[in-house]
Amino acid sequence: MVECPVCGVEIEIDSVEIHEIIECPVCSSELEVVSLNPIVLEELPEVEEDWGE
Amino acid sequence: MIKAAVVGASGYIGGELVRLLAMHPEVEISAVTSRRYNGKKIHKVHPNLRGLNLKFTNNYNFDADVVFLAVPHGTSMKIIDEYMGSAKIIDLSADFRVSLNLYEEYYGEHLKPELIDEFVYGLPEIHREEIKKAELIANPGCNATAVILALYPFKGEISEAIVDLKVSSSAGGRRENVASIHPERSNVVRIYKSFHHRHEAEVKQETKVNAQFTVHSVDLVRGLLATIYFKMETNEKELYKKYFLYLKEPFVRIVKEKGGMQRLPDPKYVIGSNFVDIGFTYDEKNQRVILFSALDNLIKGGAGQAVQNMNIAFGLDETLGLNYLPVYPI
Repeated sequence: MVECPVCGVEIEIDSVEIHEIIECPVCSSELEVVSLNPIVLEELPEVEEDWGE
Repeated sequence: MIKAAVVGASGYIGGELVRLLAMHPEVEISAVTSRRYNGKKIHKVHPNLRGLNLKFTNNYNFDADVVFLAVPHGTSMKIIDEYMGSAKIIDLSADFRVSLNLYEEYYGEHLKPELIDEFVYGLPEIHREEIKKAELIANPGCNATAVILALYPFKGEISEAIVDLKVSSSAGGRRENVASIHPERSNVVRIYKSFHHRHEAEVKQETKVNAQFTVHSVDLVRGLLATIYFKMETNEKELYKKYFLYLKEPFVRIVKEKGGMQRLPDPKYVIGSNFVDIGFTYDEKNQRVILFSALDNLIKGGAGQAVQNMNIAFGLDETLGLNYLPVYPI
């Protein structure tokens, strides 16, 4: 189990590769596997968008 | 099959109830009543229901296991004796939603105060176990549903909140009113009620939060958005955790994205469904929590929630007849 860095939910992860992108099942954040032993997730940065403000 | 009657089926909520009940696999509609349209086929009043073999009646001696009262506020308490004991009653008016004290504060005199405590407040996410055993259910208001579900995780932690509501025209009912004709209603962002809106009473009762509503009529036919502000020292991860209590709820969706078409709740993406979308942000600089809650006022804010309550009260799968995704685009 690995904690989502965004919402804090415990995510069950079987096997992943380094730099693999997974999606949190609760908050839908895209998370990058930045370390394997132990598994560490970081939120993937979003492209900033101009919504016409 | 459950025999269902809709009393006051000519309004928008009544029409939505008929639409949902007609598609429900365990329901047979036994009566749709209207004094004004007695004898007319239902599609003469609700054109979307063309093809249903239903006529309005003003004969109130119908056979029903459940009676939906989709009548104006103040009417349910006058007619409820007709149905007491013979069927489960789901009242969509405001007559039995709040305690007598709150009713008198927000609405005035009550004609059946002795019955108020017999009703269960029909918000399944909070009162599911009581609804299972209920004979009398008070269906919550649309604004109240949106605000209560957003605020409920903070019950006991805050005492006040400011609520900005943007509400569609169908929330105002179907009675003719010069303010609702197209030249007057179109393109408005009209302050409908700047404070002391009646649905505040339900929020106070269910969350113990004194929520001050400012309600705007906006240029939508269906849907509403509640934006709720209060001070609290917290962070976004803690706010996410607050909403974990809804993880297994079939009709609550947490919407919070950093990019894409929809980042936070918008009524546009719930129309035609029984979903309520809830999201949040945290203004660290001002230590202010901002919650957002969007729903279709005629479904999760009315007819859909009533059907959800019926399902629970009759021991059915809560989602039966309600598993519709929102219509898009709209």
